[in-house]
Amino acid sequence: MRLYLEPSVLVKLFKREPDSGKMIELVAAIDNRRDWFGCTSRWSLLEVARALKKDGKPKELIELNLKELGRHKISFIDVTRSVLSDCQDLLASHDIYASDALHAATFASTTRTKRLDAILSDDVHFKRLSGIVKVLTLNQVSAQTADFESR
Amino acid sequence: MEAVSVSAKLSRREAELLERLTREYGFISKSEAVRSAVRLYLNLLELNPKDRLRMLQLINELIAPSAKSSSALIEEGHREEDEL
Repeated sequence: MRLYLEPSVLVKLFKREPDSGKMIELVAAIDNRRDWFGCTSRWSLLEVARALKKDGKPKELIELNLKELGRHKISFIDVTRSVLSDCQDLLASHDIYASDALHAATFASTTRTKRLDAILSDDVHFKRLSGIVKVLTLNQVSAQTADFESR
Repeated sequence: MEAVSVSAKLSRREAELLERLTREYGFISKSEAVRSAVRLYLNLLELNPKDRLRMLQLINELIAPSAKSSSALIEEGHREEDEL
């Protein structure tokens, strides 16, 4: 599975939620299995940092969490002029947040070279982009992992 | 064992906390308390990736517990950007 990791699922790594264990398993698959690949925009680090700050985490813990993200085999994609230009087109034609447009544009640009399967997100408003990008949830991906393991 | 000395600057608040916790936990000195803290921290960072993430999740939850979901936190950030 080759996935673009949207910030709402990355924040799960640092919170105890019903499906946060699945996210740890998914990162382990990206780290250890050659058929798994994970990437995100460098912008995601800022969104994760802001979310953790809003969650009341102290500076040192936020820094440790961000460093932890960098210790896995997750690729961080640069925010290029070309991505920003695609982002502008998306914003002009869809009623979406700028951050969501940035992730969708980065996904579309990265999938040309890295053959991504989908964006992994639990963000409901990403459904607005379903015509442009394929979105999967953690439960859907976990189910596919289970299918793979039972074969 | 060859020993290497490393010095560290602390804020006044951190120095006071170190002083208090050294007494409360019965460390023989502040240096010993700092050594223990550093060893514990390095042990955490050396855990295998899955265990390290699980420990980090617990530390996050213990230091700053919160009922807000990841999705809600990201959504709040988006709304802030929208209001700018």
